[in-house]
Amino acid sequence: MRGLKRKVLFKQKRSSMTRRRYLWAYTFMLPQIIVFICLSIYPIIMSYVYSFFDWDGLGPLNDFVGFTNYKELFKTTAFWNAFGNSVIYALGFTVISVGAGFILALVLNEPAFKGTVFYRTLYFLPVVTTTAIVGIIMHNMFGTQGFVNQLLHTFHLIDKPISWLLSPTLAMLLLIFVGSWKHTGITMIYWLTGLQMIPRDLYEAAQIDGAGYWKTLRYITIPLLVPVGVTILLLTLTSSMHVFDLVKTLTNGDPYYSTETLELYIYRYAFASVGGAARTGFAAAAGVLLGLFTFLIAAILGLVGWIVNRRINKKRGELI
Amino acid sequence: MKKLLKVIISLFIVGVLLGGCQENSKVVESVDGRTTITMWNRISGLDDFLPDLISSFEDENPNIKVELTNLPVEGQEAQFQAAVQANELPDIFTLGGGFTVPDMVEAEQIRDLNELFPEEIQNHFVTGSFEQGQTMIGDKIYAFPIFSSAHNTFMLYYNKDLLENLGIEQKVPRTWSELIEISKEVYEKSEGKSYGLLIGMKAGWLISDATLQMARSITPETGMNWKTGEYDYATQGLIETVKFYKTMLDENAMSIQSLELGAQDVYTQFANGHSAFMIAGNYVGEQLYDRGLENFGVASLPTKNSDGEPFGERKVQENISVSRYTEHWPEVKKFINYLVDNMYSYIAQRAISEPAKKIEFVKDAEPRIVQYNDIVKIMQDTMVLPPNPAEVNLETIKVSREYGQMAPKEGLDTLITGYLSGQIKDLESALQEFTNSHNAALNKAIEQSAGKVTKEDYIFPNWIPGKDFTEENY
Repeated sequence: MRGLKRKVLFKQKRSSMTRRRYLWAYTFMLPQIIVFICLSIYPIIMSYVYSFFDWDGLGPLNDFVGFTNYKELFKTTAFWNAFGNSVIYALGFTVISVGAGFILALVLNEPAFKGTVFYRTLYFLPVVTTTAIVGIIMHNMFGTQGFVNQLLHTFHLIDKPISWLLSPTLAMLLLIFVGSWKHTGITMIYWLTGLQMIPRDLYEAAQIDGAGYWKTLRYITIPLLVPVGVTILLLTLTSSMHVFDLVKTLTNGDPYYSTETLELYIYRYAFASVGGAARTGFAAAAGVLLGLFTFLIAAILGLVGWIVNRRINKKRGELI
Repeated sequence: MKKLLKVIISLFIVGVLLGGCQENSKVVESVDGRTTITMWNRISGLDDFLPDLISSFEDENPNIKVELTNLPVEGQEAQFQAAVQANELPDIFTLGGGFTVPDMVEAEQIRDLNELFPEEIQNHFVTGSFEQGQTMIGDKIYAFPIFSSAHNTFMLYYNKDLLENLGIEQKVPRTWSELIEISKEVYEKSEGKSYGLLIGMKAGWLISDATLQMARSITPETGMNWKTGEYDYATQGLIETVKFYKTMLDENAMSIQSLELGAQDVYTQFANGHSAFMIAGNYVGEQLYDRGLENFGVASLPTKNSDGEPFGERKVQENISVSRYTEHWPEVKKFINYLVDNMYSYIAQRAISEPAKKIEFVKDAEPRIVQYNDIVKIMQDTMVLPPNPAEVNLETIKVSREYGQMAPKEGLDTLITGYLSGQIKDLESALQEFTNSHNAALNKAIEQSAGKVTKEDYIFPNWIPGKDFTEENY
């Protein structure tokens, strides 16, 4: 009887201690929760709310229009043009920055390679530069009378200047190139983290079995990097859908909207100073669609990641 | 322990709430006991002299401190929008960010300034300064103009030094063919180092308005045709003007850089001798001096034929308003009176534009640059007062707001640069589509007024294109 009482008392004491711990935990989490609600949840909810109103960004929301903004968006060629440009940019950006980042990581992960710290810093440098400044500098460099044309002319590679920013294809390629150049450093760091997680004894065992560099790459490195790769792909693709500052400063959507991305399209309608008053409700609807599309990509890649992880775990189970 | 926890949570909540309250309350007095009034300026010409002007005002009024913020060009829309949403516009501001006086009145953000501008003071201002829907609504004045309504006149600047160095006779080109001829000579004699013409086409407002000015020398009804109350951009005048740019580009008479550069970059290129001619606004004179070019001339925009007259429509575009929520109206009044007495001298001296105040009421109006009088003359000759539907029916102000929201966000500049960069093949169709969408937006806005406004309010049969439409014409 006494033992039972002691047990109950102990349980009660433990549960009150647990409750207290939880309370403390929530107290410390409270500021973060408030910030999260105010700065993330509230704007997301409000962008959905605005998208159902014909609103110019001033005064109260009193002109409810239902799905009119969405219907108009689906019928607008400019929206689909911006959507297409965003997808092209995202694909080009992802392929180059993930691919180049992977190659750089492989090289810089080689123990025999000298000066790895220097080169890692060098390739990471563009990541910490301000995107808007990079855009302005590149705009000047690739202008008709810019540094690049002058250089090409000096080496007699061109007779007349190339209009990098006036050709839709060249302008988009330039945008993708500059964007990927700026982002490759961060994907390189992600890949390096993944590479350094692979146990070295696996390589040693493979070498003893006579496997060369390409075989270890094919049968050890790449398969073990797949889960990390899916995450890198997810992060790169979703961030590339939100390109704004680089486009605004480098091409501003020119020539004739051929590099206008969805974020720039939204900006043009949300804060219009040219071409009449702003259409914040309409811009919010475009923002909601962009958000949903990005979420869809993230969900698909998340699913791919889950399937890959499941297969790997299954294989590991079979091996054990 | 529980008590301690409750105390901590309560303190945190109170802190958050107080923090929130503090955000909305304005600091009314500075530490030294002076009343602080706030001002936002978004006009680049004003940031040069406003600090001096404020400093002399503060010397005369030691109990008032004016806190000036110069807004960057980019991002001011968002700044204005956020301030309006929170009812936190500064006490005084130069209106911008895509918002007009009617927008601000509708949003209940600005107060009327009638007591500061009785008829006697209004008479000190040039014609077109207090216009319905621009600075006034009904009998209330909601803003006062900084520059005359001829501000934003576009003209041809020419670099005398460059022409002299190249040994080219300095005959000012009056027609397009003359401009092409001289420009080709510049390109050839400079061995491709300098071009004839440069225009900062990345600045949409510049290329749109300058092109319309030139187009009207061929088809005066280009833009809003006040005889029919319909927009018309697919005119012969506009098509020929855009094609003239194309010819200039194709014949190396205009630098391809025109399609890549904004206004400020072009001023620098022009001052550095990269082009002999430049199309720019009336406010560029002193900026060229600042960039080291003093020996330049100005002329009206060239036209297709020598008998054509380019013209633009007068409109008050830059003005000053006062927040409805100002807590320092007496101090703001003092500062505005000071601005009205002194600001226009700075504008004339620094050749920023023609002041909104008549020159005979502006003290010390001696300009610092010799070209100023020529610039003002071109402004006065080029800009005409168009009919104003709000003078006939005040409800048209609301329709104009609605139209502004429904009109396409694509500007005329985009079509021009789209054609010049080869993206638009059929210019005429593109301009026709542009015209149709503007007319559709206007008609829809009129329709939504539920009969308060009719198409008739936009029709002025006695309008003579290129001539002032004065009070007697209504």
